[in-house]
Amino acid sequence: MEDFIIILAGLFAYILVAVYIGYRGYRSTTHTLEDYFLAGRGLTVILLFFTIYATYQSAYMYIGVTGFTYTHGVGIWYSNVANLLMGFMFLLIGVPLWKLGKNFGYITQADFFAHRFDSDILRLIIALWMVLGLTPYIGSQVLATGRALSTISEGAISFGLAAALYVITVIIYTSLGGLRGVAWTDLVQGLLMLVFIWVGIFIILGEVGGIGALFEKVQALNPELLSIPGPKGLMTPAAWLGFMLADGLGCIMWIQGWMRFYVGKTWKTMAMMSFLVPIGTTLTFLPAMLIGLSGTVLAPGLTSGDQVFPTLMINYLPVPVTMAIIVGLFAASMSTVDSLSLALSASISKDIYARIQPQTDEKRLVRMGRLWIIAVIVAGGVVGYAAAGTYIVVLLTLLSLSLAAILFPVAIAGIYWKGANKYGSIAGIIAGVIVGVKTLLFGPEFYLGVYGGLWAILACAIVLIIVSLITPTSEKEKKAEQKISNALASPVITLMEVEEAYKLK
Amino acid sequence: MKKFWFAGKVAVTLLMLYAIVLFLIIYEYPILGAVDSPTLTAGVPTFILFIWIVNTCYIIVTAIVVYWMFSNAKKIEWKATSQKEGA
Repeated sequence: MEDFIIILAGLFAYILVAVYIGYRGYRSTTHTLEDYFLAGRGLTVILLFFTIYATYQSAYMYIGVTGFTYTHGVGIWYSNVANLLMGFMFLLIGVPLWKLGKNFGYITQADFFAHRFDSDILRLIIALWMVLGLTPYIGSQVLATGRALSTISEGAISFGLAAALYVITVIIYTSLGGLRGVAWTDLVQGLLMLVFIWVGIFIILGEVGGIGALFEKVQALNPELLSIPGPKGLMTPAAWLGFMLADGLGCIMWIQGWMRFYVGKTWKTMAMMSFLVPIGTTLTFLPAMLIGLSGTVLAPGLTSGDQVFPTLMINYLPVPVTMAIIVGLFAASMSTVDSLSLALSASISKDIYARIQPQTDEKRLVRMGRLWIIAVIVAGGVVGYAAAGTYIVVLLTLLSLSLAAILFPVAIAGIYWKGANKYGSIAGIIAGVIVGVKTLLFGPEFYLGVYGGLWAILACAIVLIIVSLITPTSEKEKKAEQKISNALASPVITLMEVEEAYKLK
Repeated sequence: MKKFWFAGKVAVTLLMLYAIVLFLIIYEYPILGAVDSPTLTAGVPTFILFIWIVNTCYIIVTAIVVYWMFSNAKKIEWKATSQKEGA
């Protein structure tokens, strides 16, 4: 118990630092939509890298990846490949969107789609879909951190109390500092998680006898963990393809990822993410996988794979290191939920609330944004609480990614295909949502051996193409497409539609 | 295909082909299944070794591509006046 008090003290110290950074962000924010939600479009390479890295390397890495490896073996690297795919998409989608964001004053994800397809209905559909699709992901973070803290305290802190502590902290520093605060906390959090996960694995590997001994012992105990499709046969060719594409494309379409496309200081900052982000994620996947494999040697027979890292911490790590890793876990998880809740609140404020109340001024929208942050985090917390004991973290995350990935065909068509129109886009999204909800929520998750998330993306793409080809494109859509094409080809940045972009009255 | 200020149509098409070859062929099962083995190679699971080698190649090649984009792109300029509609 005394050990646990030391861990809790470290955690509170970290929470105070996060809140302080949020407060500093609050002091330096000018309370415009652009400044609060996009940090004035001025993030440099280091800040942008760490905010992207920390946003994607959540509790999913500490609890999900370690747990998945414990159960299914090295097939978890599908998720690392997905991160590389996400990084590469910065070149095909991120850099163009940076230019368009600067040119046309986009704030939210739906701003691009509404502009390109001249459709406020599309704006509303995308905003609502993101809110609904990403709430489970906030839930998965609450679930993972709550479970870890409860396990480490040996029940002294209940899952509910741990979840409440987590939720309140994120609400405070995110709502205060906006993206400026979030970016700086992400820098601290990213460093913490990267350093501490490596410290943890070095000590755990010492217990196993070194990295060579680890692989030899796993090979003797259960060699299927070291190859695909894994001991339970999950990672079949079709499952690997489906998981990888749903994960990678979902990452890029997640609203918090998309809004990062607008925040780089220059387009070169954005382009560099295509190889910097994969370096960060590959360096994090390795220790996470090694922890999962070490668990099969040191702690066999756990009922849930998600318990492996907390169990190893309790039994094999000295208290100061456990404290550091718990702080890293909280940092990893919070850095995801802060970005996500900020992006969702921007979307609710600008895409939904400002359409219902068009008289609202910018300052009021920012104030409303702070309230929406509270609402989405609390809603996510409730989902996570309700999901406790049902889904494992990786699968809950994959569900959320798959629901977001449905938008990918519409994004690609919006940038690269001038024949795409709003009818095709809306019909495609509806088709993708129907297939996604049917397969992923009602099951079966696999059809003809392929993961339902991939079927949903394919359904969206096929319907988008067919409907766009057989329905007319309005003149306004054609003009919007032409302007976007011209902006992408031109080396000139001109805020062409500043009044329209911020038109709130 | 679109033309960008940092790359022409051919270059953008090649970028897409690079992604397709990498993520739909090299990182997929026909190749992964061929290199995968329950035995260790140089003390490391063969599967992990392969993924790390390809990851390293990806990072190097993509960094070169990005460097090329930087040198190929026209310098971005700010223009205060509005462009004409559709210009």
